[in-house]
Amino acid sequence: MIEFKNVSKWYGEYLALDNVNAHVRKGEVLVVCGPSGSGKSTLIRTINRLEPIQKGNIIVDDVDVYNCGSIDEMRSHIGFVFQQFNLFPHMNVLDNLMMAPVLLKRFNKSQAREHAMALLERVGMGHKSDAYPGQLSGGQQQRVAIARALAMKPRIMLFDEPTSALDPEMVNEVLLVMKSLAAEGMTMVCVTHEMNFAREVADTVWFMDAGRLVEQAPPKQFFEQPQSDRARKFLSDIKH
Amino acid sequence: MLEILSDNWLLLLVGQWPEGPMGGLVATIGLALVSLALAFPLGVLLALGRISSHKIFYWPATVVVYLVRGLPLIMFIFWAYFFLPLVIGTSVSGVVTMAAALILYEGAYLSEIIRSGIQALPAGQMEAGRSLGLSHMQTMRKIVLPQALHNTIPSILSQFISTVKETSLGFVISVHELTFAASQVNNILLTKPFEVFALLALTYFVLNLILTGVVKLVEIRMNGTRPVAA
Repeated sequence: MIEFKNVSKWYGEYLALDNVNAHVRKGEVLVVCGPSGSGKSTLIRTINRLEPIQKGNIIVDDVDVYNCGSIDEMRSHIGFVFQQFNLFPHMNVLDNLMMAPVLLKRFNKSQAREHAMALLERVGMGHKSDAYPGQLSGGQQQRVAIARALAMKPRIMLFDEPTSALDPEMVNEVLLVMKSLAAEGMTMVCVTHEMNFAREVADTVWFMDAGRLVEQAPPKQFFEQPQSDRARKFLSDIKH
Repeated sequence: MLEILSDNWLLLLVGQWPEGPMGGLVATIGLALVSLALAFPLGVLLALGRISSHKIFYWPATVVVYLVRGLPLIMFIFWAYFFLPLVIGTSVSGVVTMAAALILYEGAYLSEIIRSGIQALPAGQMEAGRSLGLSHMQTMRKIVLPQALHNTIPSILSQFISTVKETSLGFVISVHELTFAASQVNNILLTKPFEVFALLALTYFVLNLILTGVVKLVEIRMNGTRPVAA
């Protein structure tokens, strides 16, 4: 469903992605981990073309993301959840969810409202549909942000460190929503430091270092028998 | 001074209206309001040009902004006065000439205010809009501009105060506004220029003092109302 073919990216002289080749199957839950600066956020942002690449191709649903007719159409089928939530502060929660589906004519207004309310209930935010993002806690904002991405009925959900900006006691509420999505069979790519989430939910773990995709393995194998020294060191470092 | 005011207040307030064109203080405020109202959409367009990655939008907008910042307003008034009739092939009244110059001039300054408002927003706002499948323009219209304009309201109102003062330059092309009216009063009295122009200065000062107060009020009311993107 998502395929990286010889993908390389430079920030000026700095090589951020080094010849990445891999693919994600439909319905697969992928966790991308690695030390900071390893290129995992850059990698996930290339899937919906938030970052230009200089070499290679990324194919999503048989369409070349960097060489397609309408990137907007492409993106409307890919949900993206940011570390900093990026809710629209000038709209209330319900309008945050309804704006894009209505503007892009995916739903008419009453369908969009119904769908949005159902999603808000699902992430436990139905009672806050009139609130503004600034009135919500970080965990609440992130749950709304997930619902906003789902409001477009995406085929793929991308999560870029969705819990890294949260207070520790709010991490779980967001992970629970992500787990329920995974249980439903959503294709998910998650950049995260939550190794328990990876262990419990992921089908595959990718480990990145210095822009290279060093390991791809099922979580059990990755956590118990990492193949590379770099992954072994990373796993022992995060245990403490 | 009080006597000058009580004898001439109507002339200072509305000029020769209703026999002649509207003038005086009302014309000054009206000219500033109309100019800023029309300069505002121009400012938005210029701001979008200034942040555009397309050269055909970036360069014209940038040239306009640099020209306006690098030249005195009176140059634009002269150009509008002498060249606007040539370009459009018909004579143009002083008020329209002055408004045209002010719109271009204020539009350029507003564009820099609006541009700073746009660029002060976190990049994540644009990214969030684009990630949902909105185009660049849709994201601008629905997400970026509403926030940027809201956040720059106090600066835009300050620019309005500058505009009120700048309308006085209309005097040089005989626009019937407050300074013109004061000068008429001076020509009638002949011997009291100090009093007349002190009165004129005082009028501008009080008017702008009130407007500054309004800006302050707006700022206070805006603080802590709608949350802005952090």
